[in-house]
Amino acid sequence: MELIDKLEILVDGAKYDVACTSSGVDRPGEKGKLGSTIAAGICHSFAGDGRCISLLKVLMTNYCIYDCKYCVNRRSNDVPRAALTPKELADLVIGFYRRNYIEGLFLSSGVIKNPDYTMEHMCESIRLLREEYGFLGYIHAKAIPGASREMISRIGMMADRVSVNLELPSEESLSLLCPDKPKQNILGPMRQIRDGIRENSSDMVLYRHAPKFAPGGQATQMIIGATPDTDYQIMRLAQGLYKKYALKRVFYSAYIPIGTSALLPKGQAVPLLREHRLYQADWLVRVYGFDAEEILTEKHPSLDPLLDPKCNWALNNLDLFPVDINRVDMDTLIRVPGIGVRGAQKIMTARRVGPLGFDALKKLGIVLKRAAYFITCSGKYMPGLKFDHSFIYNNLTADARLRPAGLPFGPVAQQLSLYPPPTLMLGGSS
Amino acid sequence: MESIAYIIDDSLEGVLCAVFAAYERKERPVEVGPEQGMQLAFGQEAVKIFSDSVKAERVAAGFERKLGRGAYARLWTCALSSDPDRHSILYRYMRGVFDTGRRFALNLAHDDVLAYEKIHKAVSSEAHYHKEFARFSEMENGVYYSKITPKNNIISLVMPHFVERFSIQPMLLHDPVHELCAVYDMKSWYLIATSELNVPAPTAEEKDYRRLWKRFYDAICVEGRENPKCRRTHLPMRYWKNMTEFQHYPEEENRKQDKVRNVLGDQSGMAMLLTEEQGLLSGLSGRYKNISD
Repeated sequence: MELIDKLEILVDGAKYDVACTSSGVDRPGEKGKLGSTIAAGICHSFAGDGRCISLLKVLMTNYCIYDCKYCVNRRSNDVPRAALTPKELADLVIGFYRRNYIEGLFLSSGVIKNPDYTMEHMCESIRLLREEYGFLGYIHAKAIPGASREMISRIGMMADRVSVNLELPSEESLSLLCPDKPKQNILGPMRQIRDGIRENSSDMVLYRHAPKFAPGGQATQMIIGATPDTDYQIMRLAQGLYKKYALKRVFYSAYIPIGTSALLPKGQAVPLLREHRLYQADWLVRVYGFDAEEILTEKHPSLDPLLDPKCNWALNNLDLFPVDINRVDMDTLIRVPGIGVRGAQKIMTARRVGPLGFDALKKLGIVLKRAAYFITCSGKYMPGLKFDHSFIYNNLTADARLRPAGLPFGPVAQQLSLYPPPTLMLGGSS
Repeated sequence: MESIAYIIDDSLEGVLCAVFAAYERKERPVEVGPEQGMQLAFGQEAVKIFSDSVKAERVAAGFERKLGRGAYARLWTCALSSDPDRHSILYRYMRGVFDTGRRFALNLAHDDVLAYEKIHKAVSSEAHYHKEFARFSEMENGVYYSKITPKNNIISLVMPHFVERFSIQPMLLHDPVHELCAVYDMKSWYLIATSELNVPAPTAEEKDYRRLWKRFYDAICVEGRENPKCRRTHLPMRYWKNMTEFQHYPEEENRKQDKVRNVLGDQSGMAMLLTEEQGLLSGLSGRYKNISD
């Protein structure tokens, strides 16, 4: 088989892995060596599905001894199979990298023979790149569940980011759909990677040039919608992973029906909207300092498809609003819907010069379409708006309810009124 | 007071000298720019300001003193903009900083600050886009060549990144829009003005890599999840014409039409793989070849 055909097969098997970030490591280039990394990461292209392409995302091989029901590479699936040699893979990475196609490599693999044997192949490819080719670009490696401690620490010393896929949001789901991967085989390596990363900081005090273990941290991903786990359970789990396992990112992947098992949901793919809402909620937990319990509760375990989680939280906590953007601190400011981290920073800077009004906020790029309901400017509420739950809810969801297709529900019923509803006068901020 | 326009050299030095002149002459020009493209209003007086590097340096140093370190670098970035109004925008911003001090720059809702921040964002984000989307090709003389067609003159913001990253390969970054070429000869890099450039042919290996990349690009997209709008947001279409993955490859297109997939019974493949007990590196590809052929 030609290299180009192998590449296609192995990319086909790898593409359902969602993570493609090249962030977390700042490593300047060295004269005479190839490559550098930038903490923010760099995307190099965007695929037809709109996802970023930063790394050469590929499998070592798509032969697999496991039969995980949701996975395209499962043993029982009838797909063409191929494998790359470490040399072929390394040459491909270097060739792509020198042309500025990619930021580095994202290497995963089907399991051949046993986890350790598989990881040895992966390690060899990465060793070739790092040691023989002097490659300083980004490398993200997947640890194979069940691999030994030695293999994990070997790969962690050479890769920038190591991750173990959680696969599914709960133990019951895991044992149902991937019986070959007990929970311990996933959490064990995850714990080991966390401890390896922690050791970095203590070693660095002793030896300045101590080699770093996975300096870009670890990430994981799980498939949502293939099992009945709720958003509430998922967010609680993600929060635990951030806190207990010090993960950099948790990725969510809306289930795509590539499996035919009777245990899987039939027919349509899980709506991408759910995936999107989970990422929004994840962002709130990871960056904005929200607690998962603030966003979702056992009684309301699903994210509202009509409203983003931040608006939803604000509406459920109207007693905390409106806040005055000329007075409140940064932490309160970023909790206002429509105001992000950057917007809040701009407000903090600009208000040092003088109090800001709604016009000024618009100039700063604040999304008044959402923010206006929750703020006052020096004590003044936006003229024409009512600070009232159903008024705000109806206005915030107006766009979503008018959206014709793509949502699995119809327009929200509304009480008829003799008086025309007040109109929004926010100018062209939509 | 009569309205005044300053006619300056089309350079950052020209703008700096305009600031100097405005204080020296106790004037407030409403417009600053090169003669070309300047439209004088009725009754407007035009004053020609000559560039003087000593004055320019004094203004630059004063600007950095007022706003702190890095302020001049930002100004310089903004000066690379191709906005027709850039000279006036830079002038008004500097004037504001010199008149009111540091506080002026904090007032992000002020129109003059807003305009300045806007061109800064336009230039720096275009520079970043080129770090992402510029594509190099290996040419027959061993040089890695890349053509870019930016709106703003960002070549000098982008080249240091490539030089740091690809220090092992000679490079030519070519911007025909601004008729500039950044050359890296494995020691240092420099800018040269070029109106014409003879580019050697790509190597045979180069053509293979282009096809490999194209195949990768097409394969990575999840079928049924196509999202052209999202792609255009992140990767604006004006970049496509210079990017490898958006070119046409006749071999690839023919292949798509009569795509015959070599579907294997994977169980047999597995079995063969598992029975072989060879070393890690010894002819893995050979074995797989047998399986697939």
